[in-house]
Amino acid sequence: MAETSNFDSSVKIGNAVLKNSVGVASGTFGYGKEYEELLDISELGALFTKAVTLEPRPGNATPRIVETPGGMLNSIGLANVGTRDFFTKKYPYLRGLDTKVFVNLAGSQLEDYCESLEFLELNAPLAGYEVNLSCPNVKCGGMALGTDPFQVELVTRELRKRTDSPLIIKLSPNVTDISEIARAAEAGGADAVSCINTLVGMWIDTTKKRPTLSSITGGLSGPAILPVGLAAVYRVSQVVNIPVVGLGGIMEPDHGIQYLLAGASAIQVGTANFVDPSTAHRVVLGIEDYALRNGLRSIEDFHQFLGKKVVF
Amino acid sequence: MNQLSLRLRQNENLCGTYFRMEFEWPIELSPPVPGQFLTLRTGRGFVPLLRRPFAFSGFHPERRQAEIIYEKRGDGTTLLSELSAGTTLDVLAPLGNTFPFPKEGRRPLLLAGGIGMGPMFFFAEQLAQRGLNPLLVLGSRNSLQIPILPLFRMVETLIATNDGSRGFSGTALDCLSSYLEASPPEELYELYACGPYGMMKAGSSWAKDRNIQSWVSMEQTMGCAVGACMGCVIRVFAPQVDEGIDDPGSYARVCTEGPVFSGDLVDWEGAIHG
Repeated sequence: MAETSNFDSSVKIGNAVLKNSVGVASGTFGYGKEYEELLDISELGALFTKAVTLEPRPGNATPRIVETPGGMLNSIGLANVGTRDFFTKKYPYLRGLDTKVFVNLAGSQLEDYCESLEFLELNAPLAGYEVNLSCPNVKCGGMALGTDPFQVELVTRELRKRTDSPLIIKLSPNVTDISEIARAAEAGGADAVSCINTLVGMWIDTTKKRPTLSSITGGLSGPAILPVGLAAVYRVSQVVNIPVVGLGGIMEPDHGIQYLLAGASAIQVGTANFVDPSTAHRVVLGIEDYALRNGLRSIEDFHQFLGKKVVF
Repeated sequence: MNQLSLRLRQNENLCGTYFRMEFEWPIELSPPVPGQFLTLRTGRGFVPLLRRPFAFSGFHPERRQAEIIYEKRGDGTTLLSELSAGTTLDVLAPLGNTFPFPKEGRRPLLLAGGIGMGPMFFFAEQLAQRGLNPLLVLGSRNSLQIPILPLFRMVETLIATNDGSRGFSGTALDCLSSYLEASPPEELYELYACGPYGMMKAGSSWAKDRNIQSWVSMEQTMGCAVGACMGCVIRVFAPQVDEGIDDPGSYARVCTEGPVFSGDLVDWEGAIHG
């Protein structure tokens, strides 16, 4: 495509320049290697790793997954290798990838986040961090931290002191006013916010007369939550002056384009990776094609239609 | 593993609620191996959303086609049963590990329960081709759920039904157990099982009591099927050899460390099965 040069697909988040606006969402793409045979990772603007906690976590009991109409519930419980094994087993592969890798950090309390980030800054520096303050599937921390604006600002501020790399705060939709939380992250010094994480949901096995998931409730993802994510991105992008990373239910290029029009500067493909591993690739091409057909020269150009302020 | 567009060649009712689907296998790929599985989309829409996993039940080198046997029991498999020859399937394959061959001098005992018959048929055929004299025990609810296959002439096959409508009246394991009572006591065996959780648990325990190595093909609800999501785990006693195991000593991914596990390794009490 000769016209490609007319569209600058790059996106800046903090001091990182992503080659395009399309990333893959934390928890749906492992640590990258799992998908290397199915997708050319270098085509991605960003890769958000499976959440990493300070110590390894076994995760929740099974069943951890159940399909729902147009979506799925998960209750993985942040099963992960912990920061030290992340450094020895996952980092060597991730550092060699030709995309911006953001480590998704999770924890139970402020100290965990700080200690994890300090360890990674020192030993396993990558493009930046996405801070998961919104996991609905762990007992303390995660969503509990992410629903209180004061806590969000505090955590962000403490992490900000410890890194110059991009800091993206991932927001929960399970709050009364997501824009208030986004403002708190911005006040704490975040370079961007990503929204949304999964919605709390439930499914009941009517034969066994009990919840299907061992943890009773789980996080809903997939196309069922697309409209919720779009509304959240739209609202948040009206009130913050930092980039918004949009995710939730992107299955097709059109869905990604909707997020960009709603005000997102970047997007993440999540559950769709399970359904069709080529989705991110198709979304990258679809956005480019749309930009060319509509005479849009940059990602910011997508923001002019719905009244989004240009923030760069 | 590959994401493949494969042409459906045959999709027929095998018996009862079981169907058999045969599709072209790419010339550039090595044939699937017994134990391995695939996932496929049952439609192009978002309901049902997730891909469905199925074990390979055979490979036909002469026409270069692979097959699965599946049970029509939900929305996804109902859609699947309605696909006609010529349809293009969106397939991820081959996935997972394989059934190890038995140690020399051990006769392979294959315990197939219900829809678990697919991979057992595939393995039985390969064992027979290598002259390893497998014994296939096929258990099902009733005679309607028992197919008629040329394989049964090639491999010694015992049939058990819960309602006694065909063959042995009782479980496949009871059938196997009573058959072996009449066998020479010095004969050595290795057990392979695929079927309902209860059957594999009982089979594993039966084998352990007799000092027989057992292998089970586990099932769990899957998300990605490539090792990324940590959704399809089962409780295990020790890590698999694979370095990829992310939680030594407690969970293993069915899609990656499995689906075939040593029966001894599975924590049958801790593994809640949906």
